[in-house]
Amino acid sequence: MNFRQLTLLMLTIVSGSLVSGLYAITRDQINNNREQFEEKQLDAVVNDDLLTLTKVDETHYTLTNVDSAAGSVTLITTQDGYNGVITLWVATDEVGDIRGVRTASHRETPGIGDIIEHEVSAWIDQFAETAEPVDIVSGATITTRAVINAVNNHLDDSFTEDSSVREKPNE
Amino acid sequence: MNDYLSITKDGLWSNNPALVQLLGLCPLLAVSNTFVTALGLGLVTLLVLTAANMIISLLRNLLHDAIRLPVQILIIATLVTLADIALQSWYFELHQRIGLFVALIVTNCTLLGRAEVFASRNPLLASMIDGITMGLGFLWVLLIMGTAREIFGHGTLFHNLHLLFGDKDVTLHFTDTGFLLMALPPGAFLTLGCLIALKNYLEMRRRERGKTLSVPN
Repeated sequence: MNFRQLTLLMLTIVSGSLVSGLYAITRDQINNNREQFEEKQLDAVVNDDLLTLTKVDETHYTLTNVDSAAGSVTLITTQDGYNGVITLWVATDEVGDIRGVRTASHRETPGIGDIIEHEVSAWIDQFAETAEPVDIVSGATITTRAVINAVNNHLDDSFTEDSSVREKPNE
Repeated sequence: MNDYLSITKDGLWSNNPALVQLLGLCPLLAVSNTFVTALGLGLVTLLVLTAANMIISLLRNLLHDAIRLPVQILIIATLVTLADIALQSWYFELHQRIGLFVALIVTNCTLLGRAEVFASRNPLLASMIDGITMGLGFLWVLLIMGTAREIFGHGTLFHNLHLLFGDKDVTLHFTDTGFLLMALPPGAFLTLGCLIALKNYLEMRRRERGKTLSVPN
């Protein structure tokens, strides 16, 4: 082995150990951050401090109020958006009334379809007021309709009683 | 001392990586749609560029031509990965926004360009100053673009700044509806084009003024 190969080998070993060393130190912290971030998102969907979240699997959480069951939070997906898959967290109570809906991921057009993000607009808060029909947004018809349909399908699949959200009729 | 001054002037203005060398356009265009993402990625680039320049400058006498490029890439990739892991552990929510582009700093030609052109031929201190000033040159262009695109594209400024500094939300709201084109990628090209034009105009005016002054009556 000559000097050049030795240099390259040594540098590779040093770099590799630096990266894996830092990863080993921060791994717990990073996992912790990720869980906290997810919990924060879920708390925002449920929007009720009294309820406890229990994880069933990656896409399903149950809600309990002290001892009694108080509903569930489910990750649903739809392909009907303008650009790729939209995933949504939907929190419901026991009879199928919506506690809240939040967009988990989407690839809708920035500035148009991204109104379904809570950070961008309060549009998605309308779901929490179940008595009221939800607005379709002009310019983002496909996106908003996809979200409403996805939530409706979820409610139809999970609950017998008809509690679907209605689109606001044209005036 | 004059050397360091000219290195500084090179990085910040006359050989600015974003406005003159036009290197690193991919992250420049991608993260300049809001102020915070621009600031975040600009700072990470500044740190990685400075560290990479210093390490490569220290190793420059060890490196034979045959292995120089692989070693430079190796060092840059290592530093970027370290920065990526550090971001995930300290600024997780910011990482959720710019994470994709942090990894792409490896392919930012500014870094390899400076390593190859400058750091592998110059002593430590000069390389460090070159790294800092080139990084700052990249950062200030990013910040101007981020500010302009956030104001015109989203109608806000400093949105999400609390992801970087503290807990206080300091967002300024101007309008509810922005000018969409500025938030989309074409807005980045337009802003960058305007900045380059402005810089060239200033340079031209200075040259002409220089000319009229030097002509004897």
